[in-house]
Amino acid sequence: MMLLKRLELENFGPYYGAHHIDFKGTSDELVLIHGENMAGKTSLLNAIRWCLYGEAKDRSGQAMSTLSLINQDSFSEGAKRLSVAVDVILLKDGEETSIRLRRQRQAKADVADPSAEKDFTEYLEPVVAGNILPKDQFDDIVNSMLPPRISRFFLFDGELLKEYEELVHEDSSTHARQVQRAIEMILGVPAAQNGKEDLAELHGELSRAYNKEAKKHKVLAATAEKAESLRDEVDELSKEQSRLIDSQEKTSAELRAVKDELAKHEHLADSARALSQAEEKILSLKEERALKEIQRREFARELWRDVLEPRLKHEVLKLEKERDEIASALHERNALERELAGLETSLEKNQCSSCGQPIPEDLRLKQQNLIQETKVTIADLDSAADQERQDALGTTIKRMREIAPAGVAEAMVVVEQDLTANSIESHKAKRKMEDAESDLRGFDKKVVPEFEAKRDRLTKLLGEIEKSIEDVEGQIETKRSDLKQSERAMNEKDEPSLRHLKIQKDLLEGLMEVYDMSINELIADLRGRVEAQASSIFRELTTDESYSGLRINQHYGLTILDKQGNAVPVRSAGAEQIVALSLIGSLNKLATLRGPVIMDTPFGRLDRQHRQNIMRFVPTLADQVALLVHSGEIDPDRDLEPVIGKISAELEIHHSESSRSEIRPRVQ
Amino acid sequence: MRGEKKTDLVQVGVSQESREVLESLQAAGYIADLMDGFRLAIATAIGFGREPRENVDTDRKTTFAVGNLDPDSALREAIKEIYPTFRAIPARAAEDLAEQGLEIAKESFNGEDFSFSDIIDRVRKANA
Repeated sequence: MMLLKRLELENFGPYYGAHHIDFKGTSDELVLIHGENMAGKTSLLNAIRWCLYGEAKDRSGQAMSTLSLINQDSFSEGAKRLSVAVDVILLKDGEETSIRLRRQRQAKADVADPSAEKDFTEYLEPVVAGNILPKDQFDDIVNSMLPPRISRFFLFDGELLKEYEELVHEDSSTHARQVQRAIEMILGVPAAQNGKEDLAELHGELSRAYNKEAKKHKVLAATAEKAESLRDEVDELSKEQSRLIDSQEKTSAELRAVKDELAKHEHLADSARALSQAEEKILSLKEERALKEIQRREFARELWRDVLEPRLKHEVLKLEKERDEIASALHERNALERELAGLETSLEKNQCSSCGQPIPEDLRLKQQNLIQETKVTIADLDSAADQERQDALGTTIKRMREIAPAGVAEAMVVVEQDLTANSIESHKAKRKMEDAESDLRGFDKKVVPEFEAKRDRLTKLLGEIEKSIEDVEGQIETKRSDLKQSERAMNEKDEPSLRHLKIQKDLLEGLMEVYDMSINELIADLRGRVEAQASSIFRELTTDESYSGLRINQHYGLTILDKQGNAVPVRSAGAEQIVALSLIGSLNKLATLRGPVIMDTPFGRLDRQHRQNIMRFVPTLADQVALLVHSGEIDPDRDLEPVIGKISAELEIHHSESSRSEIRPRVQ
Repeated sequence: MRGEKKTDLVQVGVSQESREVLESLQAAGYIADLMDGFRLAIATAIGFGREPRENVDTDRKTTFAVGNLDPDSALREAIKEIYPTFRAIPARAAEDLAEQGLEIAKESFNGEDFSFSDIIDRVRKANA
């Protein structure tokens, strides 16, 4: 078992100068390290990786250069070096050994301005039980402690989730097979495989000795010759197979890196598309605007008539009212004049106009008064009853009505609305264009096609390698079968001088078969145990009661099962994370190697209930657990409730400037 | 009335300031010709209920022939009927009304905010 005791960093990432974290180094340790995004949480994880394996990877899985790892402030101040030391305690067979591993890179003395890896020198300092060992033992110590291939299950971040997703596919990729091998490694399968390989080596040696002896006998010589030749061929093919598998792993890793690069550039490709769309949109809006502006100018030419119209209407209404009043006055005056004429005639003839009788004197007097009053009324009406004015008004009204509106006002309003909408659209498109241009600033347009070509080339190459591996495996199978036949033929001769060798060979073959069966059984058993353990953890972590557990596939991919035992085909990112944690939890519980688990941003995609479930589970995940969390994924007041009393230390990464972060005890 | 004693104009002009407004409108693509803007300015002033001013002392440069500006005499007829006191000198009235109309346009034409729709709307409200 390995436990972390201390981590020291100098000028690493955002950590300017020297910093350290002390761990208790006990098997019940839970450390929480809080830090906002970009503060330097992943840098802590990377520091450990870099110290142990000499390589830190960025989010896309690309190895980071030394220059990108050195703290920028210290670099610009002349301190052109970085170092990380990891102190651990190794508990093995009841013995406790302290180990200190320190890696330092610094600019070569004769390089004033380092710009590439070749400009740096590396110093390795492995110290075991207080004894400084030769630097070439550094990797051996790391491999015995925490081999790089299985480090992914201890130094854990989102990267594993991405890798893990590939495991659930039955037609698994080369990379998934690598993860599978890593899982089998952590579970101790290689120990059994190594045993079988040792037996195979012994068997090979015996077979050669047998053939050599057999060649001495005339009846067996030809068959022995053939068997020896076949064995040589199998050996050569096996070497070729190993070479091809190596090449497959390298090509696969290279392809993944290229795909990651492409994924990284996908955003830029999106931006390039957005830019082109925005440019097209702007052009089309410009053309539309030009047409609308022509329409607007055409309407503007005649618009004066429509602008004039309301006033003309208003005036016409006024004039019509005046004309009506004149007409009314004229009408009244005419009526009064007729009445006056009748009164005057009647008075003159002294005869009532109605009954024809003479008018009595009192009535004559009244009639004279009425005539007088009517004349006054008529005189009053004279100014209002202006016939000439009425005629003039008629003419004016007619003329005003003749000034016809152009009828373009409504169309003008619509055109202006269209132009406003066009302007808003154009503004939006310009903003999109600016955003896209900003994304694309400094972007080499050739990069994507180059990566695409590389991806295609590597995919093709990987296919060819996989085909070659199949061919070689087929050939090995055939040769082995031929070899067996030859060996059987020799055995049938039962040559006494070969009996002893034959017995040994048979024994080894029997042992190898036993190993084969054992390994297969071991793997099947381990797979079953991983499934059971992961299912148990999963049930503990999930909040969805319709899930009954997990089913494991050939590649250790886990499928969620419902209550009826049917696979749940679609799962959320959060469920993906729970499944991954269940796998990691089960591997840590079943592993032959035990070590500290350091998880970076483990709660990113989870809701509160899941966070609490995981917090409850975390202390049981490994002997020593460190969680790197940010405030967005965890609410210290509520989410930490399940681990109250179990937290050994809470630290905080204080980020003051872009190149300066500090690790301090967290103040509650 | 002094205006009636004057003879009417055969050519009308705009002040330098108003000409700049017309040129801005043309440059911004609102009007094709200065004369379109001039004509609209007269109608705008009338629509806004403005009265032609007499004896306004301005340095107006002759710009448009009245015959071209108002080929069917519709504008002059409207002026004559709406402003009877200027019946004899409608072109003079038109010239001053254009000046006032361009002052209104200038108020609207701050930056790129000029809007024919706004003028249409305001004229309709003024005469409702």
